[in-house]
Amino acid sequence: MNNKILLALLITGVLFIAACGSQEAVVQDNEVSQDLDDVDQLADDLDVDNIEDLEKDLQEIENY
Amino acid sequence: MLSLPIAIAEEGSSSDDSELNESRVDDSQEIEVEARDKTGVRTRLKESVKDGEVRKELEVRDENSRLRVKERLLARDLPDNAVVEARLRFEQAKENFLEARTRYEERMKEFREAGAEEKDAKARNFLGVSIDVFIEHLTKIKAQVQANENIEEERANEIISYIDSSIAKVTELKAKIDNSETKEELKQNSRELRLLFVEIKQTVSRHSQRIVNSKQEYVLERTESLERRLANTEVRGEVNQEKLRIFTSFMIEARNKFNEAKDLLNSGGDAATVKRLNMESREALKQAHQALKEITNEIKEKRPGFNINEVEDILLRGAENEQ
Repeated sequence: MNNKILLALLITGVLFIAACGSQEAVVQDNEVSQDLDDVDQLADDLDVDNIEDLEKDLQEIENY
Repeated sequence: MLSLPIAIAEEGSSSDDSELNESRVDDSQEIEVEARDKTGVRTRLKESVKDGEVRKELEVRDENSRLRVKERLLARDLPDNAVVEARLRFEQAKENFLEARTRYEERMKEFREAGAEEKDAKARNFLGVSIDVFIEHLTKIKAQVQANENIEEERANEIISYIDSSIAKVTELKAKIDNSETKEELKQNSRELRLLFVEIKQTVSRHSQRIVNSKQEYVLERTESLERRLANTEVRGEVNQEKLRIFTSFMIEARNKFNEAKDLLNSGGDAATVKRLNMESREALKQAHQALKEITNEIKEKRPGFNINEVEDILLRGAENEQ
């Protein structure tokens, strides 16, 4: 009986370790994916392309 | 001490470090030793599940990993309220920018459609809103630098000072535009604004890319930390080797492109090239994350027990059966 209990605990422990590792990776991956989206958004917000047409439009004012 | 969950949590919490592999080797031995404590282990397992300790430990471990990466990248320590305030200024500037951009399009359209008698007034309106757009864009960059703890103090001050001086020049031009009376004055002011834009565009763009690069470094390091965790799972034969190879190759590409971008930034290189390299690094990171998703999904298919709740159930049932 004791051996069975020990075996059950060992299996549970191994399953638990595997579950912890993968679960953690999934949780973290979701979080890091969100961080990556945030960086994308920030890159868009700060991109000089947002004001790139100033040059051309100001030239139009210069030439009217 | 919560023997099993804590032992696992401690092991995971150091998984970013090289000494981790050593501690993992002895997992089964550790469990076996703990299991010999026949009276204590089951009770503690049951209690740990009941108290939500397992989940709590996972959260703590995740938080620790996040903080370790943050600490490693920390180049200057800012007061929390300074960071929060700068972020609020960024959000405000972002909103102002979008609003100014809308007016910009409207004013340009009005200028183009105006008759000869209205042309000067419409040109003045357009120049005014052009300056608003320009200033709000610079303000966004300044606020981001003020909130960024991964940029060294000296460099941050240098960027902020450059932006302040650019904003001052643009603001000065705004006053001139408001006071201009003739068409020729307006045209001259427009030319000055355009030349100023051309003059600072490259530098401002480089500053923007530095901010993006520093934020990217955090994501890159976090993903590399996941990569190390996967390598540890691999020891247990859980990982599809081909997918792991794809994941790793994307990670290498992301790191290489990132380093290239950073080196170029530090040597004052071309902003457009830095932007391309930053983008390519992010793309590689996205591909790596896609591969990572496939790897973890595959493991979950092989092992339904990967769901943490199911494992908790097993632990609970095991503990109850022993009572």
